[in-house]
Amino acid sequence: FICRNNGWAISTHISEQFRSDGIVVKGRAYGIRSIRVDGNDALAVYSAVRSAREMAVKEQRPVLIEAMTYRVGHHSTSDDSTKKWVEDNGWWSEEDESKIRSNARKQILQAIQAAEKWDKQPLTELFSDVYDVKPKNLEEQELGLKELVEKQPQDYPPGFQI
Amino acid sequence: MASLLSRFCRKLALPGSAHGSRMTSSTACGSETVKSLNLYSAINQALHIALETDPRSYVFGEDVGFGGVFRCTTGLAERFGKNRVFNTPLCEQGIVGFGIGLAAMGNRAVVEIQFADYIYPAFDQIVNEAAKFRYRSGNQFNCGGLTIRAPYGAVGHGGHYHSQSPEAFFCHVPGIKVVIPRSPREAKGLLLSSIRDPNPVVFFEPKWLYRQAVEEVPEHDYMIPLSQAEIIREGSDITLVGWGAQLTVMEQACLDAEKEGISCELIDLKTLLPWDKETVEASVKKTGRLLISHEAPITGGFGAEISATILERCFLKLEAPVSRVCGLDTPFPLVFEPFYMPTKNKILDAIKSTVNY
Repeated sequence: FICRNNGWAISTHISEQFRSDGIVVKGRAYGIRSIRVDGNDALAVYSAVRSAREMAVKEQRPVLIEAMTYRVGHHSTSDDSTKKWVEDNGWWSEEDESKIRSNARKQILQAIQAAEKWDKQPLTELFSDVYDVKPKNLEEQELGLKELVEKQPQDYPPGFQI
Repeated sequence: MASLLSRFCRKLALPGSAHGSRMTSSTACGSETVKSLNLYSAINQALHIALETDPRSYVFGEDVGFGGVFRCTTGLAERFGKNRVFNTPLCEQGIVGFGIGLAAMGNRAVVEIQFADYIYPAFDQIVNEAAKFRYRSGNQFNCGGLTIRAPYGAVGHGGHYHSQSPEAFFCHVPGIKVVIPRSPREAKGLLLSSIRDPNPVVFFEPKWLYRQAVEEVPEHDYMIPLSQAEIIREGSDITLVGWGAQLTVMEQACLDAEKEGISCELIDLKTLLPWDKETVEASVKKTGRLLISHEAPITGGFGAEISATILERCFLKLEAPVSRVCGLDTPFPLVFEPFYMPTKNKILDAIKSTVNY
């Protein structure tokens, strides 16, 4: 188990999340060998993960790694992060931003254009893997849906193999 | 004269079913002020009123301190302080458990589960603790001050874990109430009723409508009674029953059916547990036909319960089998969402085949 402890949930600080000293003690409480590393020290993280992997593979035992770090970006669209800090340090500028944005946009558009030529997954995928084999109710629903889509294709996104 | 005027104004200010329209005007009418609000702002207003009118009320959950991921709790912590509005650890079982304890001591606990999809870790607390608190103590204790709010339903891109409609699980639990509003005005009135109801309530909010539905909402403190369905559209050929966001889709189907000469009666159930059987029964006895629609999977959905009850009560009045237009029996899909949903045309087809049975 690798836990990146950056101190925050979306907006909730760890001081409101738990009273223990981080996550590492919780692993110990469950009898899991646990180690805390400086998450900003790449070599320390590498060495901990390598040893942990060795233990996991050789001894078939779980290991918990708590990598201590900082919150450097937002969690989701609900807590927008700011680039003020990197800009203040001269590591980033509006120009860099627009360059990388237009570059990324170009790459994404190319990828979308390429992907659009591929066949979309067939409709049957909606009903597969719910169980190991498709039960009768799903077979019936699949047949019913196929009939509907053939009758009113304008109601559904195009490109799906029916 | 004043009362006449205010009654007239109420009619003006509160048009039948206006969600989806985007009015921005604010109408002041004597003491009655209404404002155009979206659904999350109406919820926010209800929470402000709940905290203001009862000093023993509390709001808490994941990230509610900064306003919540859907902005429903915006401004509450600043206004009422961190002792009454606060963040909790990321632990739904703990959130509801704490709410039960708080409510059992005579407080009102309004807890937020960030997505209905994440209510399952709290299932044991809701089913085995909250719902049975009054019963197992012979009414010596109760946790009626508990209200659990959670956004439910499709949102267009939510995938497996941000789209589910889990209402049916909770409708199988005696001791709790289950409420789902369809619009901003309904959301405010029903939430205030839920918070003040002396029983624990699970209140599911249609997340698709948080920003989309805009409606004139009275600014004052008002409540809409629980367990009372509402006929939001009168008709004579078929009765349609739904709740929450699905009513918007059903309403469109009713409009299309009307163009083909079919008169649909549309009922908003509002409270699913305990539900208003009489309103649905009376309507079906009039129309002779029933269609139920919900986003949740059809098998074991709450539509099945309504169907069974109406068959018992209206067997000889029914002109056609009860029809259900619901979600499929699959996990909520991502790219296949438009196929999964009980869309307007699926409902329209079912209306026609039921009427022409």
